[in-house]
Amino acid sequence: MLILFSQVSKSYKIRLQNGLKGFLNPVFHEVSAVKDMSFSVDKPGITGLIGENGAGKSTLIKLMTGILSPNSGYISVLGMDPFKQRKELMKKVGIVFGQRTILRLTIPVRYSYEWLRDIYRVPKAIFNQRLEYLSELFGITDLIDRPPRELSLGQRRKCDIVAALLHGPDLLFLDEPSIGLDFKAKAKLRELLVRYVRENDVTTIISSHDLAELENMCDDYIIISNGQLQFRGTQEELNHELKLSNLLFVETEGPRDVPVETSLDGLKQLATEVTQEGDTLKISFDDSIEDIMKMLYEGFKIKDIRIKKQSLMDALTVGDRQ
Amino acid sequence: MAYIRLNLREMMAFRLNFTMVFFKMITGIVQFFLFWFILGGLSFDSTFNGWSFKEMGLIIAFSHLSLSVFQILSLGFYFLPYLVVHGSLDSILILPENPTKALIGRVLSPERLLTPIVSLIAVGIAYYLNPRLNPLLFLLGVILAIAGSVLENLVAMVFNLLSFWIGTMQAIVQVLNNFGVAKRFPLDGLGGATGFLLTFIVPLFFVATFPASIILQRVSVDMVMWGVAALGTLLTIWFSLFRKLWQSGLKNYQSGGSL
Repeated sequence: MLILFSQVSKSYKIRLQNGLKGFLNPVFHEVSAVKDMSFSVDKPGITGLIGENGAGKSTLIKLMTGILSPNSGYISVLGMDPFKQRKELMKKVGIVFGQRTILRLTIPVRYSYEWLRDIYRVPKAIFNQRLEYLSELFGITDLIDRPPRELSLGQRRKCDIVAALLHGPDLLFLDEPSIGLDFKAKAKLRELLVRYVRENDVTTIISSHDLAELENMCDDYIIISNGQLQFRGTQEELNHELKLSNLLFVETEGPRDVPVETSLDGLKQLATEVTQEGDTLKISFDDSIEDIMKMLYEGFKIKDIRIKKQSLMDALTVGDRQ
Repeated sequence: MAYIRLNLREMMAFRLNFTMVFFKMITGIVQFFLFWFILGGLSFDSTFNGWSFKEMGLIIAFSHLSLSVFQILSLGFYFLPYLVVHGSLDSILILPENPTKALIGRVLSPERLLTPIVSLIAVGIAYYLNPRLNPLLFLLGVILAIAGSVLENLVAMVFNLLSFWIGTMQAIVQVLNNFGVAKRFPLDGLGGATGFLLTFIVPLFFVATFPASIILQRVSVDMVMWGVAALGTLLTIWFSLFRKLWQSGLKNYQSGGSL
């Protein structure tokens, strides 16, 4: 078992700041960040940790890395208690917090890497080999002799990720690694990360509030909301759970000889859902499209057809609305 | 060593500031001596509350020694409240290191390591000013002065650890620092509540006055025994408190969310 969470809860005490009244008579209330959560990660791969802002993703990662201690429950990461054996665990773990950097801003990135080499006690020869490999993979060879303050956010983020990988961790935690990056930079970073993780067989937990960012990147998913586990499973299980369908958008120029009602009834038998808005039909279907197309051509004069695969984002957004 | 090299490289990024570092430290120690020398009418024979300027040299040297202990041991802890309040302690907790070591190492630059050398120069000057000192008593005094400085800094470190529960500690620690000025003066004449405060609560008496008094044989053997026992007891109490608060503080740490 790589990661085991058993009935873990974590709450914070927050003082309500209410001007002079609150200063004289402080009132505290408890905010539950993680509630009675249980899950496990059994085999290597990429696990996507998804949840809206404030869902508890960062808290979960900090519990897994021993930065925070749980109020109750049991956590085991690589066979260790993260809070009690944090120092030992950290030797085998790499962490990137998207909004923070471990690099010193005013000196060349290489100097911070050499500092990490000493902290993690990586032999020089291995370190040089890894640095060369990672610099080439992430395209930072020309950047490491410049201080981070002179780099763009995307360049700095790549340097941060390399910093977390220099000691060759078995387990990688990435907390919103592409936060603040533009679309192109996000896609590139995602591609590089997947390549590294697959090539080196590193178990990775990657969090994001953006489902689209993680879709088709992860082997399985943990979806949380308000500190509670909503879903745990593979991409296929998630597709099934969310009933991810194919969507067919059909623009018509009216019916042929068959009455509209008859055509629609026929379509409803073949599809999972059929909706009509003016001259446009929206058809969700799981299986074969052939019969649906036949029925459409028989019943309608077709102007345009578009097929779209429903994304996780679409499904969850619909779920939220419902 | 890893931190020292990193911090040296960071210092060297700003060349003019780096070249001024040693000069800054020398002027720092000069001002310690100059204060009393000017106060005594620029005379080596002037006396202050029963202490000659030459004897005061020991108090000056030991109070500078306390600065060295501060620079090496507890400066990192002065940043702790900021890190705790802003949830930035994560940057230390993600390292495979003891957090105390990482917190100290974070600010441990060669500049700070040079401070003890300046302190030793000050101790040497004090020894030179008082040529008839017993070398063994002098050695004992220096050891006790270091222990006293560790105690003083331990108290400040414990107060900084309270930030896990209280939050910002700036004003509270500043109160402690304001008391700290007193270590530069002879404190042997103080009695009552003030004496108790500066001996047991903010234990500045052990930083300079007590070790200097031993070296100059201004106290009885009984007083030496009592002082050493009190210093040992206080060190044990504050160190236990320090360890306990670190452990519970980390449990209480709330970190910060994604920005």
